[in-house]
Amino acid sequence: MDGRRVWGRLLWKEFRESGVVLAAGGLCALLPVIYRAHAWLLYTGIALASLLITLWATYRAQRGSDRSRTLLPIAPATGWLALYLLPLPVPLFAGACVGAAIYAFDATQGALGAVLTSAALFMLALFALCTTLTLVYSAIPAIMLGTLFLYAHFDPLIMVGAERRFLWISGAALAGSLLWAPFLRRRRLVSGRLAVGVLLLGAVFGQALVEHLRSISPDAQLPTYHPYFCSGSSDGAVSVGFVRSRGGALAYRDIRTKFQRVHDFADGVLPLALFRETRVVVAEHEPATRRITLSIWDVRAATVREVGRLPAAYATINVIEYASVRPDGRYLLLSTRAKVGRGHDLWIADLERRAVTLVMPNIRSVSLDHPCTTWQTGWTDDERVRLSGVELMLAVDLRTMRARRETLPPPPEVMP
Amino acid sequence: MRRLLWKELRERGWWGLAWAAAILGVALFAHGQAFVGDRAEMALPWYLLPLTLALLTGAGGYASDTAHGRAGFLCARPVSPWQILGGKLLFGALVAFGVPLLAAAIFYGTCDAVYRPFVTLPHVLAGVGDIGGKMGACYLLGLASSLVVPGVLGSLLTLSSVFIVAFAAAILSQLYLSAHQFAYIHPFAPTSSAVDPQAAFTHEARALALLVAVALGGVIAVIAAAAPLARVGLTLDTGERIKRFVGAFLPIYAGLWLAGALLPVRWLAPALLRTEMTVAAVSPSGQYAFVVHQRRFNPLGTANDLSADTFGSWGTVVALDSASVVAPVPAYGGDPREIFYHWWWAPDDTAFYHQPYDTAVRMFDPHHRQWRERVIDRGFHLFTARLSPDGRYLLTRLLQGGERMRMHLHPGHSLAAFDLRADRRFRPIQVGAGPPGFAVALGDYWWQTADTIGYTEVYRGMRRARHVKVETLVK
Repeated sequence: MDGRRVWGRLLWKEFRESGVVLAAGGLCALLPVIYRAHAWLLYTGIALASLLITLWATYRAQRGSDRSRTLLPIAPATGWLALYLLPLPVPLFAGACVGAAIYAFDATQGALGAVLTSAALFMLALFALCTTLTLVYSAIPAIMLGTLFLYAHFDPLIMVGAERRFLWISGAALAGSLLWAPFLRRRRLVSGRLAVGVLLLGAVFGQALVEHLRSISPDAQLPTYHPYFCSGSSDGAVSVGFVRSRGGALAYRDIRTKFQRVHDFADGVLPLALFRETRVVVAEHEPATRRITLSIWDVRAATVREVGRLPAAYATINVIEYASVRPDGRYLLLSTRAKVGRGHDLWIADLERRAVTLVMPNIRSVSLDHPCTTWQTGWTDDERVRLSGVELMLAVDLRTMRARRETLPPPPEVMP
Repeated sequence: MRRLLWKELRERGWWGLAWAAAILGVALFAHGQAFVGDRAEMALPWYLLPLTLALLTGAGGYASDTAHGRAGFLCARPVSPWQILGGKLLFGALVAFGVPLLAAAIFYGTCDAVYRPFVTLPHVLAGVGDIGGKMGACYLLGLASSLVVPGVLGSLLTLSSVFIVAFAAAILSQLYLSAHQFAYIHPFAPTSSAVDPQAAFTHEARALALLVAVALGGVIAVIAAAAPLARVGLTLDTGERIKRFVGAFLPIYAGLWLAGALLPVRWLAPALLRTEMTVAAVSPSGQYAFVVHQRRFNPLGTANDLSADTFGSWGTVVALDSASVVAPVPAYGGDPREIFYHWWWAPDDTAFYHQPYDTAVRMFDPHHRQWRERVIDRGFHLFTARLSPDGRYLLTRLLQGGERMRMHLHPGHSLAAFDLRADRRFRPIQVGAGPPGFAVALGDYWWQTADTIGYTEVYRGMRRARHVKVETLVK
């Protein structure tokens, strides 16, 4: 059989096998273009087209890797080209359709060409990943990684904004396929699978992993200036802040009297609240014990006195989200990111008795913002503190250290 | 049954182990499951991993039994089909509910001591039930799908086909909703006063019913259609099984969809109408709170446009000790669709200030229970505002000079002070506004005393503090 006939037959085979996918994938992606009623249609269209490409690429590679193909009178290189290059129009077309849908939905401000290119590259990466994984492992890991890849990029803005990344992933998948050939020939299947697996996982999740590791390292979590704490007086005259270029140094400044004092704390310090004009409650984190200590910095006397310690271990000081001190400085209400769950742990620190009590773990306040932007505290005369926010009204009895949710009266039904 | 369970363990032990490890990992290390606190939660994206593994483990349930004619051999054993099914269900239940229980025990044993008093039986049961229920549903769905086409890939093919049918049903639902607008009212319709709120929410209730029918109905239909195959379908050939499954699935699914489309839903409308979100701001003394009740239907009877992020808002000032309403917040300009934009309490609860969206500020005196309108009659940036020590004046930064900006001149800065207790206006303090290159930047601003404003000018790198008596700024 001459080369031209081989290619012709292979092309015909591709057309027969992929025509339906081409049509269905395009239709799934284009549905949102035709019917632009709701955003979920766009997401569903993208998901369906991507899942279809995943399943099709896996199915195709599984069939292509069986013995029947190796019995055909074609060179291995031709087989490889047929496996990867011939079906390219399918993912590219599906990607272009997805890009058109994203563009039609005005989900991005990018130019049409760039959007189409990026979405097409996304589908190309998906196709190449699934094909290589099926060749090297089997269909199930290919479908799983394909689905994870889709989930990790399931956002029109990500999908049309990472073309270079998709190109790298496609390249890595192709490289993985080439890498696999010598291992297969020498029957070193385990080490080959390991090598290709590391390459592909690195290509897909490497960047995210590095970013995650960076974000959880304690050094990365302490910003130069903590934006949530307004450690100053409401009239703007007194402020407490970090000193640039000096690790954990805090500066107290009274702009009226031009009084200024700097104190060197250890790295991992956070000013929490100010009371009686010149006293600052600060939190310090000890990396060795993973404990957070509360202290009062008396600015005038230039002394720091420890007043409590949180009875739980934390990797960073940045878990503190909200703090409010009673005007007389006796109690501190403190909120940390929940140790378990996704809410907030609420603590009361008795600054005189040096006792820190967990009064309610994992409280939920429906808010997209940081607690500091929506939470407010009111300290009552009868030894209670109330905490309010979005879907939140709590009262803590400072004598018993028990917190309970309070019910708000319903609004009048008739507007005044 | 013990042998059947042993068979399941041998066949799917690794899958079950991976599934269990994923549940444990997410529950213990990813802050996924709260066995303490407000409520159980499964919203973490990490939960997709154990859910996927639950589906895949389930999908392997009958995969090997139906492939390569093994079903005949299995059915020749002295066990009933229900016992075979029972073995598979028991295996799934052990992982789905047993592992979360184990996670709760590990959590109790390893958590910081301060959390232990909060790990109560209701919390643990809620957490285990939440995880186990959802994992179990996914496992059951996978198991049902494995009865149709042999092999794990076959099960996934069944699920994909069901998903495509569900997608078609979702589009059909959308078309049905569009065709039957019910009493859906366009937001801010001029004839809003004549609108029946319940009727307006019927549309949404119908959409909710259809959503449940499409999503949950799909799961129920797969399980219900595949269940008889566990009894009689194991030894049938694949084509026959597919026929029986499709023959049962489509009518059940269609029936559930029709139920979602046709059953009366008006009873659901009042519940939707009353769904609200409250935002509370407690006063410094803890005695009062300003509470905004946001509903998706405003008091005029007009459905709000959710895409525009507007809500019907009821605002009240409440006394917290007696849990009673002190005063409702009047609608601004008679329009209840206002957004409660900014509010704040003066020190010692002497006054409550409220600024509807970008409009004038009004004040409420909680002791005399009186409102005073327009204490400040223009919009300003409250986030940059500073109260004087006695809470009488407010100092804020104004962004001005748009005209100068268009002429490429430095707009300069201005500070504005407001008397919150009297109807008096002050002349803004102009800082800078020089020609390009000679502009004066605004540094800090503060209250030097109760009636003296302090601010810093930055001119060519030099900082200069200035003080102005607020009384000298009277217009």
